Amino acid sequence: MAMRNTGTGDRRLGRRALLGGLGAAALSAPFLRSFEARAQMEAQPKLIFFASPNSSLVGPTGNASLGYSGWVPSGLPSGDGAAEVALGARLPDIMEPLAAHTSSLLPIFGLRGADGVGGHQQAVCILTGTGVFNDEEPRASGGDGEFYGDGQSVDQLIAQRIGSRVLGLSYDIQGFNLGEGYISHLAPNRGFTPIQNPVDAFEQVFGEAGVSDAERAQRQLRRRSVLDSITRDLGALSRRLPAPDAARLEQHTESVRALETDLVAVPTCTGSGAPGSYDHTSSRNIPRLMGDYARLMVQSMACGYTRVGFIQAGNLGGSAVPSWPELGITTTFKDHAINHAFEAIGGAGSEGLAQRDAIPLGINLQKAYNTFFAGILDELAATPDVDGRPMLDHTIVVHIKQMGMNHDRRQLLWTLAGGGALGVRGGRFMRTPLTNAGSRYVNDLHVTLCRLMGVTDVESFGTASANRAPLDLG
Amino acid sequence: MTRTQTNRWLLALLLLGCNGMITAPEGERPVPPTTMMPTIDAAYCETVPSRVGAAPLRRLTRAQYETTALAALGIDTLPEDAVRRLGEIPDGRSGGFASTTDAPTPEILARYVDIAEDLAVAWMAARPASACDATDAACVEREIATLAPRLFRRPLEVSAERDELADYVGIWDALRADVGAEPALETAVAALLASPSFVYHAEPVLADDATGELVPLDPYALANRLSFLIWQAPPDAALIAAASEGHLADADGVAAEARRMIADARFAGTLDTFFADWLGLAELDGVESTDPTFTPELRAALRDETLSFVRRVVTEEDARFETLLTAPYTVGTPEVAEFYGAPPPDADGVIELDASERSGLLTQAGFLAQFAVYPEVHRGLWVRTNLLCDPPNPPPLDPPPSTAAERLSTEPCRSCHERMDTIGFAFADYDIFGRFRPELAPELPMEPAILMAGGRIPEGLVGELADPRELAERLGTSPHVESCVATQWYRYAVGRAETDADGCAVLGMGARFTDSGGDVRELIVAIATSDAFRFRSTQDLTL
Repeated sequence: MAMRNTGTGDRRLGRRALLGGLGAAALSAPFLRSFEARAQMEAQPKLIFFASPNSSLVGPTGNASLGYSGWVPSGLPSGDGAAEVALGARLPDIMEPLAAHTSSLLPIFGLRGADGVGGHQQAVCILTGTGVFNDEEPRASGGDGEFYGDGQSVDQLIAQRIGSRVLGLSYDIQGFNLGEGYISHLAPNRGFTPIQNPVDAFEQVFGEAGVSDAERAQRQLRRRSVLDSITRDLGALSRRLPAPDAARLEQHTESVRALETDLVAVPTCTGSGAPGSYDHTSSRNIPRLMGDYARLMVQSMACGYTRVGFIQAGNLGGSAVPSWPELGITTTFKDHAINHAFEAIGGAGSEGLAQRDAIPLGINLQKAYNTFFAGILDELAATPDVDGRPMLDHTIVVHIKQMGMNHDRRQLLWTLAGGGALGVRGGRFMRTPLTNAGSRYVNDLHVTLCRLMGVTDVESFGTASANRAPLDLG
Repeated sequence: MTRTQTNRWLLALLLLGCNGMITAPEGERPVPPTTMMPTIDAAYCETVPSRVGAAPLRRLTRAQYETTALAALGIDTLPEDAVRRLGEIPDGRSGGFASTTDAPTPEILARYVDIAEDLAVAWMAARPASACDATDAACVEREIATLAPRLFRRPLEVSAERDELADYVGIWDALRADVGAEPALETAVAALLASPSFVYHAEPVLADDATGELVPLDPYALANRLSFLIWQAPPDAALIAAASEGHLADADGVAAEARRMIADARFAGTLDTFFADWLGLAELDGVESTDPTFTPELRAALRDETLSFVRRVVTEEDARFETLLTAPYTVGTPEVAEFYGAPPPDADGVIELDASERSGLLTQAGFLAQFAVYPEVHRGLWVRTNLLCDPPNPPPLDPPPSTAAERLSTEPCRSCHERMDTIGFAFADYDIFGRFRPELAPELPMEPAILMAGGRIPEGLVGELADPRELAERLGTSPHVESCVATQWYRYAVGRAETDADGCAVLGMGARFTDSGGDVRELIVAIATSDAFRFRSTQDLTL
């Protein structure tokens, strides 16, 4: 944070990412409405996705004698039809870190991801409810192989419709399994890049601490003149360049408009507990990073900066080495290798780790992710909403993963929490039908979430044929 | 961000090992990638006019952004905040090298603006006490007139439509009463740094001079292509002057500049970038290892070793590709020498290696140690893809674990693996870190060999191989391989994969590379002087 003394531009109002593809006029009005709503002390629905890598390690899987069943709640009827059971005093062991929130938990087992998309590839589809966008230069021909979903993701759709923005926070998503970094999409093939360090994340929402109103106004003025200059240069460059280049620059111009809109539209937020300095790229520090992100996300929602966000524990392929002794896991293997070995899907992924050794690692890994999930719930439970009730009552938090049983796109185990005031009834474990004929796709959940967030006219989301009917969560 | 998306091969295979080809419908056999070698031959090319593939608008890569900003602003290092934020702007890849064609999304644009502000602050702080007074309009005009052409890598536009200098001085003028003269100047500088004229490789054309399917690049755009090809850095004053004086209007003028630039120390910038990307050296950092002696420091030293070796061969020795593949020496630290079991380096850092154990780039740990998982497959795949330009099909969905013998005796594995693993077998005497350990070599189900589709042996390359040295010697003198290497350099030069329209151009570059005896410098001159490099396609003029 060096060299700020002469003023480096607007740290408070200027650092607003967001809102792709929308014109200024479309945005400013809904923002104003949302502030008016706050003034009326009516709590607004909020939505947070928490994404952790790979699968939930539901079993049994691989070697039957080693198969793991600690994810199943006691009392769940056997079979493959729809079922539910109340969550008792003792949670499935991988959910133990969530025990304080049992009454608001709603794990849903059995949803499936997009047809025709393999397990690892689901990362870009789980929030879009589509297939992958197919235009990439293959890796074997030297392309980056990075790929994206084929539609707008549900977080972006909801944010757009309610006049909010998506705040995306993640551990490093780059450089590991390509196509497993971007879960949020502004449009088909247009991934939304989350902020990947706590310092920029804090500044984006709250700006630099200790800035006077006068200085803030000056910074806003300066930032505006930079954006104006970019717009002018884009126009000039478009005139000089051939037509296809100019078409690309038009998207750049749209991004400038989004920043300009944000410059006027955001409310003033005051944050506390600015993150300290640490290596946010080190796997070792992920627990600390997830804690910082949980606080930041909840504070940003408390002050009205956003109502839709996601926190991502890194590239969903599992690039990190989850060695977190404070959470009971010590290893030199990556999340990816632990998953492969746990599920006895050998070959290149397991890197020589035996299934027998991977099972305890995998269980503790899932507990660790649920500890991060619980951290978000703790913050929400401890923070009052404008109506005095805990924010958790007005906020649905969904722990999502790209794969279910056996590294597959089927039999996902996703867990909802919170949202009691919105009509989500927790304290129970749901199973949706596991049969091909009766199966439900994540699309049905996304339609449900749209409606719970007040976007009530959504009848279908993503791939049309993957829609059955909204889920009954009440 | 420390990891880049640099080497695709190990990652690709790890991922493919899970998935199969990324876009393949479930249960269907993936579509084979198109072959990378032009099927077009010399006779055909003599009959057709010059063509070139479409050139999409690219942004500076992170590395190019950094070198350009530092050179223009006259500062030594980026501020800490700028480094962090630049790390959040991912480089795309095209043709195997860093290249970004996406327009920035709002959040990426926000990072660009943040970095611009950070750098403007650093520039203000680095101004000497004797610098002119920012309250003086003439001073501001002078500062902008100096900085802007360096950042934009071209003269400022003065036309009936626009006076670019006046626009930027206008930013200062409009703000100074409200925010003060120095912050106003700083803002004008931030606007320069956030400008698309800085951030993009803008490549306007001389539309009136189009002939056939080719339209010449504006001379400053050509100067930029040249400097990023040869230096990975912006043009210097001499190159801009050459553009301004019309010396880049023909191939001879371009050749003269290219040779001057290759003789310059900045040439090392492109050698480092090309070879690090091509060989995937960044992957060394990510290799999982339970061996405590394979430390981060050793990995860094081994990466530097390969780059130092390349620089020495190309700028101080004969610059021949064959030498890169066969030299029985390397360049590195005492730790590197110890790793190879060789005597310590001499005063120049040269380490003499046992010629029966080591032979050029492919026997250096920088290459060998990237492939800890199934090394015979991945080492062979790399050669297959990057030296023979004949990548096999991606594997099917969820391939089961297998031994080499199983892969080579079972369909559908065999047809692809016989073309990868058999090359990889040539490296069987090296362990996964690249140490020479013949006593640990596995028993091989087949002799090492170079085979292509249908068991074909490419012209000029033998089938069976005695050892890595023989592999290197065959590869190092093969016109087929030289043509493939020319293809890789062309991709690097234009920041994209070649298309059919580039086929004859690439064929010609490979031929000139071969005619020069495999001189890497001459290959670069051949690319720089080609029509494909100096022109854009007339198809680029229409949507």
